[in-house]
Amino acid sequence: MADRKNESLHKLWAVIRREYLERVRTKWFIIGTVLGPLLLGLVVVLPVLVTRHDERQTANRVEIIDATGTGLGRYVAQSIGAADGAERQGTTIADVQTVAPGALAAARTNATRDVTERLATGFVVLDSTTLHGDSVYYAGRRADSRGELTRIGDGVRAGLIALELQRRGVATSAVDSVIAIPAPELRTETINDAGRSTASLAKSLLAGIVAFFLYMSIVLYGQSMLSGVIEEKMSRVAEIVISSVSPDILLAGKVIGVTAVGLTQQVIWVLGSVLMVAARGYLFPGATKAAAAASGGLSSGAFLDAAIAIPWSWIIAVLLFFVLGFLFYGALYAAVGATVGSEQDARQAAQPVVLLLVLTAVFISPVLQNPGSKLARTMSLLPFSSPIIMPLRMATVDVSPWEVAASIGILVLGCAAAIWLAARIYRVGLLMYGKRPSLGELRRWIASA
Amino acid sequence: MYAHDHSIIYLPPMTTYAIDARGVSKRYADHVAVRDLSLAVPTGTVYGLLGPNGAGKTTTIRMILNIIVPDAGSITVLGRPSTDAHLTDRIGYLPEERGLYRKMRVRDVLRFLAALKGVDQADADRRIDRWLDRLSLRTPERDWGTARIEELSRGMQQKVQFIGALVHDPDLVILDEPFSGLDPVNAQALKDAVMELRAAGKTVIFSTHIIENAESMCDAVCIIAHGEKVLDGTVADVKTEFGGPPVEKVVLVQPSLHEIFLKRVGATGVEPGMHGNG
Repeated sequence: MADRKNESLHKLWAVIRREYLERVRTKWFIIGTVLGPLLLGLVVVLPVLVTRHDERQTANRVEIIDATGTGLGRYVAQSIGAADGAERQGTTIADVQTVAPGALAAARTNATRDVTERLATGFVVLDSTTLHGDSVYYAGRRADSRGELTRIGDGVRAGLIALELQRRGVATSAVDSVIAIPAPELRTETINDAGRSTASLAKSLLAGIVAFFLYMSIVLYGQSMLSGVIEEKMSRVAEIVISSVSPDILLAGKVIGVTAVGLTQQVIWVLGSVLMVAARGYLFPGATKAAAAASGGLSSGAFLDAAIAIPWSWIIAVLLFFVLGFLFYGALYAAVGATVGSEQDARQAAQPVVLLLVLTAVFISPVLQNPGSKLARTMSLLPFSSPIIMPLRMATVDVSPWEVAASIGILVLGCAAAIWLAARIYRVGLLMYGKRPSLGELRRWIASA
Repeated sequence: MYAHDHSIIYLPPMTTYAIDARGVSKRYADHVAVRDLSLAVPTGTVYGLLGPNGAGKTTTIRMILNIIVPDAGSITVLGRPSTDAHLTDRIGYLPEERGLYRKMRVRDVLRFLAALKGVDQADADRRIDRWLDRLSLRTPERDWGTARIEELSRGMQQKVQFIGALVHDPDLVILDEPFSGLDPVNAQALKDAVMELRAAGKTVIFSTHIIENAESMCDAVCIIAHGEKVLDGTVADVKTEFGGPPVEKVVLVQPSLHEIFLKRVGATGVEPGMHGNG
């Protein structure tokens, strides 16, 4: 008896080995494995590069046309321009041009020409309406940049405050030092129904990206599983194989083998990302801080900080959920593959499985916005969505250990059920050629095996 | 004392059966594939399963292999019930529909098939090389063992599959329509291999709808049609029972086209006249 068990294990191992080696050797695996971390790295580094590129082409030079005759322009320039007036990345050079109200139209025309000829990025017009605190006019290449507009609005307001201080007799040196007070970096926390969330925007985004990668991996490996089973069935290799091992062992070997391939890739991605984050100082010296200063809202610096702050326990949880999720979906995809006779049929037959995955993906964003909601908690328990949603929640809020344990427990049961069901469909379906079975026939297959 | 007296004690020749199927039936949703079929294949013989397309040959073979389970009847294979999981390592099978993992290399496919039969890799490699040489898949010019399956011609792929069925040195070899799609040279190589297996005491069953092949190779046959047995027995018995008394004919024969083909194309390992009853 022990001998026979041993023999089955040997055959199971042979199936796993073949699935693993044949998949790992394909060029798609190698390309995907290399591209994964590069893509993730790009998300982190691209904003930096874009900002740099932007600034190299047109230094952020704003012309301030002051028609108020009050010296407001000087204060505004002081507020939005660099303290030392030096031309550096991520800083703004502000040139003040004091004009009489009658010469305003001509000054505008000149300024517009400067912008079209890339001598300036934009210009601000300060006039009597500005003095009343009503409006200020900005025109330029960055009129759609929220960060830039906020900075100019803040700068004008600071200028008005300085002017008011001056009017009330505060010493000029004191006014200058007030104006020089920098805007502090904004750190945020979300408070929702479940209480305080420790998630920063960057952290949520990172969690979202990881969830999306999980989703993509399951979809891609599921498809690969599907075409593998179809190839085996259509080439009739399946018949030789199941004359040597039971269909259950073949199914188990395939699912385990493909999962192992996916896990290998994920581990390489994680290690690759860790290395890239660790080596960022050498790759892009000084770039990240400047980019953080340049872009108003989400900075890649904060993004990196969030990436560095990821605990290993979370990474391990992600991998565990991936493995279980893949066993679940891999079994379902294999079952689908056994029922169809061609790749074309497969696309249609796989729809119910794909639907489960897409449904999960659709909820990634709502769950991110409200990780403590009833919806998020339910989806992190259901076996078809928990492999993606639970790691997402764990990254953004503190999920109680019992909830994680329950989720894993339910997922394990789900896997067992999926594999049991798949084995029965697989057994009958693998030798059935011709038209696809109806639901009724499928039920009979499951009952008969 | 009696035991020494050979003239008194009559010992019937011990016949063991590699396959002993009794009253086997298989019904599908809309038709009966096999009905109450009984057949016995003596160990060490070449046995032909003959019949037109759709007669139930493949279903019968799949039931012997325990790929599908009969609705009724019992099958004993190599002295064990056909459901015994241990049996699979002693049986070699070449299915009717041919196919292998297209992207895999020949040697890797054969190693995989050998591993599924419980052969360790060192043994497998030795046997694979011997077979590749034997079937001209490894020559001084080219080692097809390193090629991918999809680079092989159809005939070569069939030979690889044939090796896959034999790589674990099985006691029972089941070949479903082994000659379909083979050119005469390769068909002859396959016939030679079958005869060699027989000489080594193995049992070979093959199904075919080409009756000449059966007549030149088989010790015994079973003819089935519409899922039922029409007749079975040794080739000599079948001829005597159903063909009437022998008739003497004197004819002058030119060599057949088949023989000319083999002579001119140059089949390797083929000896003249090597297609008789063994």
